[in-house]
Amino acid sequence: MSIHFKSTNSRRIYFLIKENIFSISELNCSNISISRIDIQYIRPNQNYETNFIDFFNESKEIFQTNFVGQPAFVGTDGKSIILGDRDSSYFVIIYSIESNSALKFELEIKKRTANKLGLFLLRSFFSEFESVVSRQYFNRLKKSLSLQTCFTDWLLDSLRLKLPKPKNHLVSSYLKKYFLTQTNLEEL
Amino acid sequence: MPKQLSINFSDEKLNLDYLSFNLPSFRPHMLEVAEIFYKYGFNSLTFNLDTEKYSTIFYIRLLLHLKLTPETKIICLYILNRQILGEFIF
Repeated sequence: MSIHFKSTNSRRIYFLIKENIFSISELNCSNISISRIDIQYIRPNQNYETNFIDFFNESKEIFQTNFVGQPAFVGTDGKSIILGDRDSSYFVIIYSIESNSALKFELEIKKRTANKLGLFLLRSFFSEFESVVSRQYFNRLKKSLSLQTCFTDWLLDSLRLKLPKPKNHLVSSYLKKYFLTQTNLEEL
Repeated sequence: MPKQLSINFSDEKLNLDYLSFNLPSFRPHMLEVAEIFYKYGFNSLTFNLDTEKYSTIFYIRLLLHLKLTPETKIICLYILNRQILGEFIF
């Protein structure tokens, strides 16, 4: 038997579990698992830019280069793109919502991957669950999409913040203030 | 190995959009499960693949007449003050 929570329902049940209002143990099922996790970002489209076609075509090309043999389709109306096989572990779909006022970037995680990530949720490791699911989301989108357009500005920002800092990077406090105020010219 | 930063949904403005649980060999307990979720504001629907029709469990009170076939799946819908919020696609 499977139980599906879509859209508002999925956020509601997650909230109830996370806030310890509802416990999965109430179901009294010993071998419960998670079979699907969808995660999304909604990018507001302030300029009501409706020409997504270049972004979609470039993304399709990048996706098919990185995931050889996987299907990729741009919707006939030019408002959506599907990247991957719906029955595989990862499936990306991007589409315009609310009369083009926003673009929804969605990743569906299924099968063993969902099962493994779901263990964090079932064991109440919520920060680990969110961290790993987010990381999977960003990594998949990074490999699937064109990052050269305004539609992925948010993704670039997120990816940049997550890059590991080099070990010998310059620290902004490297030049201490007292060098300038308490050191004479000869010493400098 | 550089230590990875912890990320959370709210900082990244990410949201869940679908969550599906698998309860193997749990079909005989379907109504009990529906009842548990009902306590938390979820009304449960069954979907019959043969007829492609949904049946609402607690609205129409067909508890005794609900026909469970191997294809029957249970879907939860969040309701508030008996108003169904949003739509669902299966």
